[in-house]
Amino acid sequence: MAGQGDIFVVDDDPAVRDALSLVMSLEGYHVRSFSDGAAFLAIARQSVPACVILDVHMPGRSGLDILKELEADRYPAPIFIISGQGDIPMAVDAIRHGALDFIEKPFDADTVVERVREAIAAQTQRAGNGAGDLLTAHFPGHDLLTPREREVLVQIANGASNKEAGRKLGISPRTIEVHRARIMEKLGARNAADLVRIVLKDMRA
Amino acid sequence: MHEATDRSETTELGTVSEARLLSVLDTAADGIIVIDARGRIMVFNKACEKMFGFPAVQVIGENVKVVMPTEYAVAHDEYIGSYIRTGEKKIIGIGREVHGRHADGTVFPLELSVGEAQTREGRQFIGILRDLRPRKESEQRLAELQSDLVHLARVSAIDEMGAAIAHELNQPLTALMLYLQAIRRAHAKGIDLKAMTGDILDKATGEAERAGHIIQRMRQFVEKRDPVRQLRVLDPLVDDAIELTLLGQRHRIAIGREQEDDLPLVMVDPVQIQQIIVNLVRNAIEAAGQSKHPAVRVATRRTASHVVLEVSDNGPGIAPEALPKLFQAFASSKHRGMGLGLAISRTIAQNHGGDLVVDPGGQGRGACFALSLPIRDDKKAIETDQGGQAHGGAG
Repeated sequence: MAGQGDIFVVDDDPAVRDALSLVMSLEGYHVRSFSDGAAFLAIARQSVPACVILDVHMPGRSGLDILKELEADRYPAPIFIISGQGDIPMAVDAIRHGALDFIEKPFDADTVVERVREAIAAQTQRAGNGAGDLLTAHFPGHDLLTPREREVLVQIANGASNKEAGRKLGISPRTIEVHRARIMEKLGARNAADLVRIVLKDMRA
Repeated sequence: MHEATDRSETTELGTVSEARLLSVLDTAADGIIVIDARGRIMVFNKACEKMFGFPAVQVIGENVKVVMPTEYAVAHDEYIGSYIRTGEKKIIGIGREVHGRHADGTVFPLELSVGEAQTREGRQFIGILRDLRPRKESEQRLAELQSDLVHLARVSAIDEMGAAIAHELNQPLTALMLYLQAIRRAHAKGIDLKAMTGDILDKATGEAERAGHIIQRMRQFVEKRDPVRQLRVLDPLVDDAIELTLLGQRHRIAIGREQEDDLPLVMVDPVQIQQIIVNLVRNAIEAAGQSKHPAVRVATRRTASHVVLEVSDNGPGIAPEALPKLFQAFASSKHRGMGLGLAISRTIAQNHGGDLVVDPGGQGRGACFALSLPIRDDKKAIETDQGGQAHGGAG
């Protein structure tokens, strides 16, 4: 049970922070909680946890600001954004800024435990596998993509559905859709087939 | 009108004039009664027949008391006598609201103006009467409509804040759910939480209460209720309203609060006054949001005659072209909402004998709205403060 890794919980609401810490502690994680972005950033730059759970609504520095400052798209640990319903545009923005996925409030313990566990497992597997061909390949626009977007692209190029890709990467199919749209926009692809053509043609060449 | 009574007129002419006079009397929309110095009815026109339900033939020659409720009837002869003796006018040329009595016994409000004529048959008094019931009804209807509109604006305010309030409710609900599931999960895993269980359950209860409190707040605000007047200290109402407004804000912002000590009491409808404050503070937060370091200040102070509440922000101020329409209904420049906020806020302020004015700011200065409410003098206050709880739960 013990020693499953560190989880950082960032939420300005003391009750949510406390309850979330309790649930994750019972799962055997070591939880450190932060009431604001500054305190979190100071620690997160020094030591990387297994996973971060970050509230998007916070006074002062919002969750989004924190993602930017942390350069979350290159941060080695998966970051979950927690947000209320009706904040989808903000959640999408968070994903573009490197959050792994979002969890809608009010959520239950089973959901958050499962999502965190999957994300950590996917992260571990990723580290073990090393990078896929596409992750290092140099197709046009390669530099425009974030590491996560490249991972999603690998899945798409391999013909995975949103659902399959999501399962592989420990994120929801909806989030895969967000990444897919973003990748197509960056690479100037009109549809998925177009996308595969751009990437693979260049790789064969 | 009295040419007919002139002795020098020919009989023929007199008849024509009299016919004309009768026609005028019967065409008049208002009730017209002419009485002599002893109070006997001489003329009772058609409008009166309709108003009182008596045919003219039945009341002509009777004392005018037949169309009065008892409390006037008893003293009426004395009123006429007193006027004839002293010449002191209490109603003649003044007009006032009195009550009349219908043939069926119904007592109803009347507007009565009385004129006087010296004739060869002696002194006569002419009363012009207007039934006030239709006007009273429309006044009441107007008051009801206004109250509905004020309520609608409150509902609309909550509706506009809806998403943010839902977010605020999500916090305790999320925590509550997690606390309860933590216990459930520990139990399933065979972990004995021991003394922690009680502690966690207490926290869960606290979160349920927190959610309940938010809902109660909103309910009190949108509940449809009759307007009231209570003698209250303004500041606690202000603080409550600020709290409610902040519930509905996605981005939390600190509100600078200044208050003078020992402000005098004001006679207010607490919910309506809070409605103004919620409105002003929401607008201020929105305006301040355009600034790099948003700041909103809410201050209460007194002047010689009023308690004044000021809500100011450090936003861009109000554009000169927006100023003329600022307090007009449905003229909002915002995308959301009905544009009723400021129009209704000013109406409420004026209904309280106060006002709502703005210093538009601009050129680096934010706007400042000032709500003024008249200070009640203590004597009056004690008489009118029937059952008004100074710090009731309704806040």
